[in-house]
Amino acid sequence: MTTLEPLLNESIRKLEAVEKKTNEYLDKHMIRFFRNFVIPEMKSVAMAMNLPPEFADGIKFRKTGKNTGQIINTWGGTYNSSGKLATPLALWFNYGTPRHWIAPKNPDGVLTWIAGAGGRNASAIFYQGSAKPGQRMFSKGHYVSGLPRTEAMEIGLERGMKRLKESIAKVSEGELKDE
Amino acid sequence: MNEDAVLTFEVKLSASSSSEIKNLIAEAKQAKEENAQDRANLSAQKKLQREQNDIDKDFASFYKRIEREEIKAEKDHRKMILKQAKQYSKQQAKQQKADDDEDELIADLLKQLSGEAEDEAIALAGFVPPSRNLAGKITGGLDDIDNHGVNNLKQFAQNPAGMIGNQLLGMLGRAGPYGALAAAIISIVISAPELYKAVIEALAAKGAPLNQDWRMSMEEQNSLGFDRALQFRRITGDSPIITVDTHGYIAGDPSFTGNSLVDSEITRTNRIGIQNQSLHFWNGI
Repeated sequence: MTTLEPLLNESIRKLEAVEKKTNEYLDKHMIRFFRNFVIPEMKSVAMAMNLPPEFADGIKFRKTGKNTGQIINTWGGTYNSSGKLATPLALWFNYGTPRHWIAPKNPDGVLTWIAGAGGRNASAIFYQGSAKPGQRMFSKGHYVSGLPRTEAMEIGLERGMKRLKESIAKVSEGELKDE
Repeated sequence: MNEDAVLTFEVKLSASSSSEIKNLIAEAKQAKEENAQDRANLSAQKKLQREQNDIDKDFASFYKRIEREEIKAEKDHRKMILKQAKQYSKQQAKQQKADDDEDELIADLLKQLSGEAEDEAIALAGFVPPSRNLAGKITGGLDDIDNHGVNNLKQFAQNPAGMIGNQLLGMLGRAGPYGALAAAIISIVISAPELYKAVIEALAAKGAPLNQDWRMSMEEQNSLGFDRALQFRRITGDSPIITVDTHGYIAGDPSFTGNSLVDSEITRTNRIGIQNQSLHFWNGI
């Protein structure tokens, strides 16, 4: 064996170890990275899209395995007695809803809202020419146009991952050297 | 009141490595692989180098061993040649000794066969060595053998078994005194077959009876022996040809026309020296 061969073996070993070590490092710090870079970016996007704060608050990260995890939104994640989600609000606000009929749950009750407030969930159909902005409105049921499709989660995730990639190189540079 | 999430968004906070870090990891891994590859290549190169060095070492060792073996083989070869040369020298010396012994044996035999009287006569003549004198006798005897039907003693020498027996010996006995000589030789050969080759070789050696040159010379000499004038000149030293035999010569006898080569039974009555013979001849004695 010549003197060159040990050097080459060492170089190959180190080069091949880079990927493994990097993945170990990413797995180890995955939660921190997502919480620090991805989740805040996604919340910022949601806020910028004027979604309810509950939507942003529902964005979370959880680790599921080695180098894998999930970005979830828990807003409206309440199950009814039949085991189904009663009001998946995050789903509705992310992907929108079609035009649909709404009515009070109590047959004796009515729906009420303030007209002309620019409310997103007020149907124009029931806007009467006589109604004035600020006027309280009442209804026993009516159609609403539905929520628009925002895809705030996808957009936020994309921007968040981009920020993560940009930040992780700077952050991990010193840490990888230390490890 | 039970409250829970109405909206839920699942979020996840995690980080993944940037493209820069991923690129850095990829580059580091690639560098590691390249480094490993380089190391593998380097290791392979080192291994190859080691193997090459081992191969070179083996080859060097192999060549060295071959060289040593070649040197050793050359030394062994030289040693073997020296040993063979020594053995050959010993064999030659041994052979020479055996040849000398055989020559000596044959010489003794021939000397015995030639007779002391003839040796004395030859010594008196003082012209030729006794061996040549004896050889002349054998040549004459061979001629006699030829005349009696034995074509060639050499043929017999080449195939002695074919001529062995009383028939041959009897025939040789009838051939006269030189036939007896030949029979004696043949008897030696028969009794000691291992010697026949040596005997024949001795007879065929230069100056020996079976040597063709020698025989021609002897024939010439013999023919001269019939000419009295030439015989005289030969005796007195006028003739360039040296006579070989004075056997049976009777100085001053005008009827003398032959020499002792023809008949050894001729009584030798004169043992006067050459100078005295010459004087005696011219004095008409």
